[in-house]
Order: sequence, then C-alpha cells, then structure tokens
Amino acid sequence: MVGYIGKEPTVGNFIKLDSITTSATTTFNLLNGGVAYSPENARVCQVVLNGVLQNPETSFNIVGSTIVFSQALTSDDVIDYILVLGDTLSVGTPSDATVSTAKIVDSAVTTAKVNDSAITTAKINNDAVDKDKINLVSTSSSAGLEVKGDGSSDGYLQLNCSQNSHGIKLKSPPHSASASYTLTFPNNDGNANQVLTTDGSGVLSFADAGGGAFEKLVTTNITSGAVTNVTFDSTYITSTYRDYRIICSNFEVSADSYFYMRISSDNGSNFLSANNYKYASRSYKSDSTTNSQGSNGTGEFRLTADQMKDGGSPSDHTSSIIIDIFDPLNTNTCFSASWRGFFTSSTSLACGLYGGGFYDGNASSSFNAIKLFLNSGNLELGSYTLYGRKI
Amino acid sequence: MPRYKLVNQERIQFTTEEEAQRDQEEADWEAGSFDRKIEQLRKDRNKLLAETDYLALSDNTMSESMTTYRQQLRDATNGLETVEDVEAYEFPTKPE
Repeated sequence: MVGYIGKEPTVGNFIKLDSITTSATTTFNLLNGGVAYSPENARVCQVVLNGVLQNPETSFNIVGSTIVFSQALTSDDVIDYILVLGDTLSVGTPSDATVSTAKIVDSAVTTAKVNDSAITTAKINNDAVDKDKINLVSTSSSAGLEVKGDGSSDGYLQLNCSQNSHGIKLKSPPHSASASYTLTFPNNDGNANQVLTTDGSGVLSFADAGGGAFEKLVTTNITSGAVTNVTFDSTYITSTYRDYRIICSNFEVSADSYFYMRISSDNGSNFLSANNYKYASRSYKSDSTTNSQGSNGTGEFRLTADQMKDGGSPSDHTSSIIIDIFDPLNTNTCFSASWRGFFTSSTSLACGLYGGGFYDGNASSSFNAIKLFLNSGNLELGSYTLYGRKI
Repeated sequence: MPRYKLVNQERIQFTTEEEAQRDQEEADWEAGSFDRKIEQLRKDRNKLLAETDYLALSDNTMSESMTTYRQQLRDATNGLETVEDVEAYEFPTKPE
C-alpha cells in the first residue's frame, strides 16, 4: 500500500482487480473475483503496465467495467496490476460492531436488509402491533387466529369494555373433553327473544325461545284466606304457546272434597258445566287398593278418584297435582288434558293419581280460561303455577 | 262469609251471581251424596265378589260359608236408604 501523508485511515475499500492477459487491443474487461467491476473513474485506479505507473485519463480511462488504454497493447505487454483505491467517499467494509445506530439514516433500513424470520418477539414492544398491522386470513385448513392454551389453562378470547376494566371471555372446553368442533354463526341476527340452536353439526340458527320446554308464565299463591277457585285466563293462555301445564303444589282443602277442573271459551265469563266432560281418574292407595272414577259425560273433570282430606290445623295432609293441557286454543279439536299427582284421601291413605279426559263439544272453540275448584269447600294454601310450551 | 276466587294473581270477591251459582253447586253435590255413596259401596262390593268368583267355577264345589258370604255381598245395598245407612254398613267377613 502506498504511504499516506497525515492520519492513516483505519478503514478503506481497496480492491486489487483480477489479472488481465493482454492482447493487441486497447480495451480490457475489469473483473473482481470473476465478477465485472466498475470503478467510479480513472483517478481511483492505480494501473502499472510493464513496471511503469500509468497516468489516469491520459494513458487510460475507465468506461463502465472496462479499462481503455490510449494506445493498443500487444501480447508482450504485461499489466502488472490494477488497484482500485476505493470509490468516491467510499469507506470500504466497516469492521464488525463498528456501525452505530447514529450512522444509519432514519428510515434507511429496507425490507431487503432484514432476513426472513429475523424479527424476534423481544424486538416488538408490548401493545405495539395495532389492528392495521394484522391481517388474519383463514384457509381451508388453518384458522386466521389461534388462541392457545398454556398446558394447564384452556385457551380463551377476552372482549373488554371500553375502559378495559372488565371483559367477558369465550373459552375452550377442557383438554379432557377432546373437543374439536366448529360453530358456524347464523346468516342473520334473528328476531327478538330468539335463541341460538344447532342443527347437530354446529351450524347455528336463531329459533324461538322455549321451544319444546315449558316456561313459567305466572305463579299465584294462597298464603292466607281460602279461595273457592283458582283461575288462569287469556292474560296468560295465549297463542304464544301451544300447550300449558299447571302445577298445584302443596295445597290443602277446607273440607273433604274432590278436585275439579272446568274450562271456558269466553275468558272465564262462563265456565262450561254441561255434561260433556269425559274423563277417567284412578287412585293407587297406600293400602294397596285402587279406586277409579270415570264418566262419559259429567259437568267437570274430576281429577281425584277419591276425596282429598281436609287439611286441618296443623296440617299433614297436603296435595300436589300436575295438569297438562294440550293445545287449548286449537279450533279444530276438542279440549283435552291429563293429570297426575299425589293427595291424601279422606280415609288418610296416601294416594297416587293419574287420569285424563276431553270435553266432548265446542270443538271449534278456543278455550282460554281454566278453573280449578273443589266439589265443596275452599282451596287453602298452596302454590299454583301456569307454564306454557312452544313447539 | 263471602267467597273469593284467585284469577291469575288477583284475589277477587265473588259476585252475587257467582255466590248463588256456587251455593247451588254445593247444594246439588250434597243432594247427590246418597247416590255417590251407594255407588261407591256397589263398586267395593263388586270388587269383593270378583275376588271369590273363581270359587264359583263349575269344577269347584263352593262351601256353604262362602255361598252365604257371597249372597250377603249381593244383598249389601238392601235396606240402605240414607247416607248414614251407607256409612254405617260393614261388609261381611270373608270365610277362611
């Protein structure tokens, strides 16, 4: 290397080009390691020909990746070497760990300068990746977003409130469930009071709530003061529901009596009392005997085949009966019902009961009121709940 | 004492018309008391007779005590004219 006047640079980009075999021409290709090389100009090139240093721009010039001598050489001439002393302002290859952050211009690092998979999690600030930087694309075989478990806790997705102080979670079933299924949401947002149902394959749709199950409509209690009857009318018996159930829970009677039911097609203004009630009721009693009551036409449904015992005071003689009423508003069929339950007979026997019947008339009517009462005396205490069922 | 009905959740006093109707229902029920009781007695009697019907088959000779017992059952309702008569009636004891 030629000596320097002044402080010697600690780095440089000095390139000795590949040897050139001369011939009878002026122009020769310049190669560096077999690759074409284009010095910036003739002044940065030190060219020695036949042991004599050549004058740049006079004896030779640089044209792209070629050197052009002012006179044609011969095959006897020898180009001893060509040394490129670096490009204008070139500092050569920096030594390891010498380029500080300050030496890199802001926004100068391009995508091509970053290796694939080179950015680690630690290089990304917490909460730094915003929604615009995320592009979650699902494919037929993989989810756009996967929330993983940690080996003990099941994966879940949390949806926060506006202040991020509360949140609800959508959580995976536990590992022990071995659950792998897809829930596909409906195409629309459904109607009021509808619920999500599945087709059995995870495809969800909105359907009317309560389908198939009884839901409570109203409960009325007798806590003090006997009543002669308990009535449910069109306030609750509506076309919203198809079938109805009345649960008479833990009630008592003021005198030994039978439990009756009548129906009305005018919302209770008149309860039908014609001898059109056909029914059969049976009691199974704790002395192993049975009793039956039935009629092909009487003035009410008689739900108990035996008389219920007057509760007295204090009472240990309560009764509980469930009555199912089938499609009472249907104007194409007659009114029908079934019942089952428990009561204490007037002879102090425990009685299981079941029965059923229909009203043999007014088939074209809607029956929108139901009255429960006794053949004689009053109902005391008890809870009476009306349920409705959609299909 | 006035009567009440419980409609849905509301306790409502009977109207005069409803009171009269209910009075009639209870009176009708009371009036039918003897018929119901004698009917129940017949049902109970028939059940007891059925329990010994197999002894009346042609390949069996019924004992005199059983014959008497079954005849007493058949005659059970004879002479019963009031509710008190029916309630006081006791079925004969079945022979061994």
